[in-house]
Amino acid sequence: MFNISDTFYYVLIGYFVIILGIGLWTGRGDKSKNSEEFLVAGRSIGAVVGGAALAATQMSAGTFVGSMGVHWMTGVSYQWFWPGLWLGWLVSALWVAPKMQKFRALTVPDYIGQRYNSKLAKGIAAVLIFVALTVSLIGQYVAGGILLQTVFGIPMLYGSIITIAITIIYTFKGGMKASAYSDFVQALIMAGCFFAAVPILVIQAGGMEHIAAFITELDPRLTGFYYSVKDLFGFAMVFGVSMAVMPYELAKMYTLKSPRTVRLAIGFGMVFQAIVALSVSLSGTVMRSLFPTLNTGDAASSLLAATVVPPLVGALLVVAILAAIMSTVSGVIIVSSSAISHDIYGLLKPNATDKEKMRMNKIWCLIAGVIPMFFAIRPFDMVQFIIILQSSLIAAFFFPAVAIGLNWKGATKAGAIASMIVGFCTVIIWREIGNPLGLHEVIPGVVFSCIVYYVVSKFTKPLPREALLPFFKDV
Amino acid sequence: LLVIYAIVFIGGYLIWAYYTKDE
Repeated sequence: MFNISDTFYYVLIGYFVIILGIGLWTGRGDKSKNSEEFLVAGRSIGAVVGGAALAATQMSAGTFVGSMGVHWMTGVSYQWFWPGLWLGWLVSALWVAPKMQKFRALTVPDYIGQRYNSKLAKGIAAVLIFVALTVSLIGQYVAGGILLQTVFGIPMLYGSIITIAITIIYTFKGGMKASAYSDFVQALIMAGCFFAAVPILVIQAGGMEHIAAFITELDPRLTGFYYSVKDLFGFAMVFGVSMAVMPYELAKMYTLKSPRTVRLAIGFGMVFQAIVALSVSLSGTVMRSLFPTLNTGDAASSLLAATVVPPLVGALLVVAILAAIMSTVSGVIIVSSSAISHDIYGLLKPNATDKEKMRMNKIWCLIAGVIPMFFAIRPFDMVQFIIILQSSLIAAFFFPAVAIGLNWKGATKAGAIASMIVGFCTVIIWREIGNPLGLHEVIPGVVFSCIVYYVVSKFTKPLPREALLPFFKDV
Repeated sequence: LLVIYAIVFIGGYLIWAYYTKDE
């Protein structure tokens, strides 16, 4: 707890008012009353707002608290996972996202159900999405709690309740459209504030040469390769493969106007990410020279805001981190609650009206937001590694069914179901038995799930022509 | 003690995305 100036409270309250205002304004009247509006914003979002929303949803507490913590701990080499993530976007832009937009579904399990002509596959996809996204939210809540506790001295539990309550209110009221427009504002805050803070931080720390000399002496690996190229390849693969099939990103693709909008939005999203990548990499490493020892690297970003930079800049940084958390939580809650209310409920009660589904949706928005809080009270790892676990799960169980399934018409129902289950279980088991061969769990997860997908598809009954018709021109 | 990589990769990507038309 620091003696912080009143500026922090004014800026924080101002930010909450602006974000709530956007949410309530976009959700005014009857605009978010049906599923088409609530889940995919009426498919009306353009490339710039859409790109910012893609970036804001991806850049979460994992980036500002987690990645910065890892940079603090390990130095500069970790920044090279970003090119891997951008390659993932490229894969998505070439083979996945535009096709998803063209298909005009409401949710990702909708696509799975139709592509594999199987209610079981749709149900499994919905359940696995709900589980993986709950893990993701745990990471967000822990980071929000750390931030508010470090800067304001608010107990962890209350801090996360405040953050989540505000997010749920605007998500609830305005649905995907409110989520996308507030994401846009939040992306501007994230990129702008951190970019502005970096020069101040470098000057405070005594300039680049001094920093480099100091941390090299502290530990030569900080300016060299703390992580080997093999490690970095693993991280890049986690982020790259999962980025291409991440359900909350794919759901955002449905909100865009056309396949070309999708491709442009991905480009604008990468621009936002590049600005943030540079800022986080620099500030994490520079913080190491100012604070050589901390209990956990996750505290580095909060300390930066509270003690290093002038109060106004610090307050804006706190808001930027909260923006990162809230934009991700709102996108994730819409997708994970729709997995239950739209997909599972729709399977259990096929003749449910849209109104009934919407009512279920709002109830599950609350439930999906509250469940991770129980786990966040006692976190099981550093924030970045919680996020990496959920990315690994998504990459392993979803990559074949979504990315390969959109491009290979030989895939069958049994292949999709088998690959989802094998991918999910491989990641969990590989992690539990302590990563044999020194491999990160995502690599066997993705490899096994692709092999199973191919082999099972080869030996099982092909899909009827009608099921493939929406996806392939020449069946 | 990334910028150039990002400018080349993302710049190239945006040019491609801008000139690619929908079928």
